[in-house]
Amino acid sequence: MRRQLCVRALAGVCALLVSAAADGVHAEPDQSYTELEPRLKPAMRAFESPEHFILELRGGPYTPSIVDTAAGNIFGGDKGPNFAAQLDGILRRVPNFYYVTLGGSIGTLSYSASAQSAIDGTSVGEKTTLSLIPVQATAGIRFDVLPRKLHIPIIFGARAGWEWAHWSTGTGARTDASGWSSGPVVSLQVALDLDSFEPNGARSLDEEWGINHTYLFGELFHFEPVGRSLPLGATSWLLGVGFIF
Amino acid sequence: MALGLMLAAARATAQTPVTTTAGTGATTSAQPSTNAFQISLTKAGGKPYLGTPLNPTLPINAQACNQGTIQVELLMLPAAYRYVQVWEAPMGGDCSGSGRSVSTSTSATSNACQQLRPPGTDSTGSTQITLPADQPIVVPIDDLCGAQGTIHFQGTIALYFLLLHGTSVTEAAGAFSVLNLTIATTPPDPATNVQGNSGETQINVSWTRAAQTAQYFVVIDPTAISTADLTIDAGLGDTICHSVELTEGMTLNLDDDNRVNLRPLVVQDEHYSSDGTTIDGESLNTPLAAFGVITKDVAGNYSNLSNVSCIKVVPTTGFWARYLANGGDAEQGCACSSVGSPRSRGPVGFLAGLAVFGLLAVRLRTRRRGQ
Repeated sequence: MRRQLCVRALAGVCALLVSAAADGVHAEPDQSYTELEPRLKPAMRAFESPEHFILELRGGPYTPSIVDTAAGNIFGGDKGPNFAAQLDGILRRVPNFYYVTLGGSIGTLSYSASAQSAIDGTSVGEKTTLSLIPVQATAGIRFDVLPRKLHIPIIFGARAGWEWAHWSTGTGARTDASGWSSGPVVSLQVALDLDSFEPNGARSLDEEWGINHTYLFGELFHFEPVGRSLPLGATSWLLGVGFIF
Repeated sequence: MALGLMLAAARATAQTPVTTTAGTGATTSAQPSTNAFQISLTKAGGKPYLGTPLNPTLPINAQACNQGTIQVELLMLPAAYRYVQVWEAPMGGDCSGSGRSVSTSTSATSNACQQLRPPGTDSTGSTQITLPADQPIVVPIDDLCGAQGTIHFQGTIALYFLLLHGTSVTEAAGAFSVLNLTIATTPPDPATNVQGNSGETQINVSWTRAAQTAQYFVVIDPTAISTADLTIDAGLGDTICHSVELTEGMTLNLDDDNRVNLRPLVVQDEHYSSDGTTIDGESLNTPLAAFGVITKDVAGNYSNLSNVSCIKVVPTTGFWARYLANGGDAEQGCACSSVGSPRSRGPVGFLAGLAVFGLLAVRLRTRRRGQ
């Protein structure tokens, strides 16, 4: 009899434990429960969506070397401007340390000046133009260890690759010539990590849009066409905004 | 444009009860049928009515007035009536009642109703209705517009289309609809300060816009002579050429396609609300051409010609010619001799690779999310 009671009591305890465990698995804490438990508040939970791409929108002046020659000075030091978009895929990510990327960019810029009379060389109302569409393939690395580990909102990056710049020049409605200038391109970048200034906003952006990080940057780059390319190379700079998602 | 283009449909307006005199002479009290039928303006001035659909106030311009008629269609006519009369109410009067034929004034600006007599009407100005077909009516508008070249009336005129049992001008309408026409025949001001330039394939010309104009047409005389008539042309601000065909202030009638039927003049292009354009000098086959600008307002009225200016067609050179002249030898096309692009047609291969890479990355991301 006593043994039966012990068995029944043990069975009852087991049933309670199983029931409690089941509750722990299936129960969804409601809002009030979440608010009472600080560790469940959103700001306390680690959340980060996967990072696959880096998108940069950038612009700045650009005066190719041809513009400084006797032929190109017709443009009178025109500086563009140069607008471009870069999309990189993240090949390797060491969290809170660095990214290795591979991607490309495309941009547009144009130069314009008054054409000249073929008879006496005087300026006429018609325009002569040089339009460029630079396309780049680059590999890059960027270090975000400073903002992630030391709370210093500075990111350093660098890229190297190849550029194909499609050029087209014309006078009035006439296209005089077009072609591609290609050569190596390298760039160095210093970025200001915006997440460091507004971590809650950065978190919201990640939760709602999947954008992990945002930054403003300045970039110094050099393009050096090779072979019989039109000499469109130059060293110049760009400013822009970037998104990692 | 199809003749049956349904534009400017005007609903019959609500009216107060009137006394209708039936064709038999018996007088009965009746309610005029509101919205009994629709009016569709299909042609103005003998041309298809190109206006905004369902806009009965699109203006009748000078060209339409000069042609003298508009054509309307009366749609979904009720079967109870045998005749249609058309009356004009210049100042918003009511022409549906039996007293419409009694003029209170002979002034053109009076409130009196005046009867319009479409071709084919009888001595009373009545048109017999042929049912069940919709009724097309050609309405003379000479009286509305005034003599050609004069300005008679600017504003809205109500045209009453009355359905009657008989042909009496004193029978109150049993049903009617009103078409409100805006007469706008005043020409717009021409553009001013028209100036030409020199070039080869894109010669810039400019002008100062005139008020309330919608379109600009550049009229070119490619037969301009190189010796300017200094007594005429210098006064117009141009001393490099002289045109016999074009003179400031002249009237040029453009056709339906906005072309000018006067050789050798050509209309280069039409431009909306702009203050300049470019002219293809190569297409003119002349080293010198004179031009002026005609403006057109929203009603479709054309201005007189602006001041006449000149353009010089000269061969031009640009950056590429200078580059070659300075020993430039850049390869055109794909720059195949460049290192790194062995006949690869630029970055096509790279872009294809990038696209594949992007697809793989998206797929990888999707797979990770699935986990």
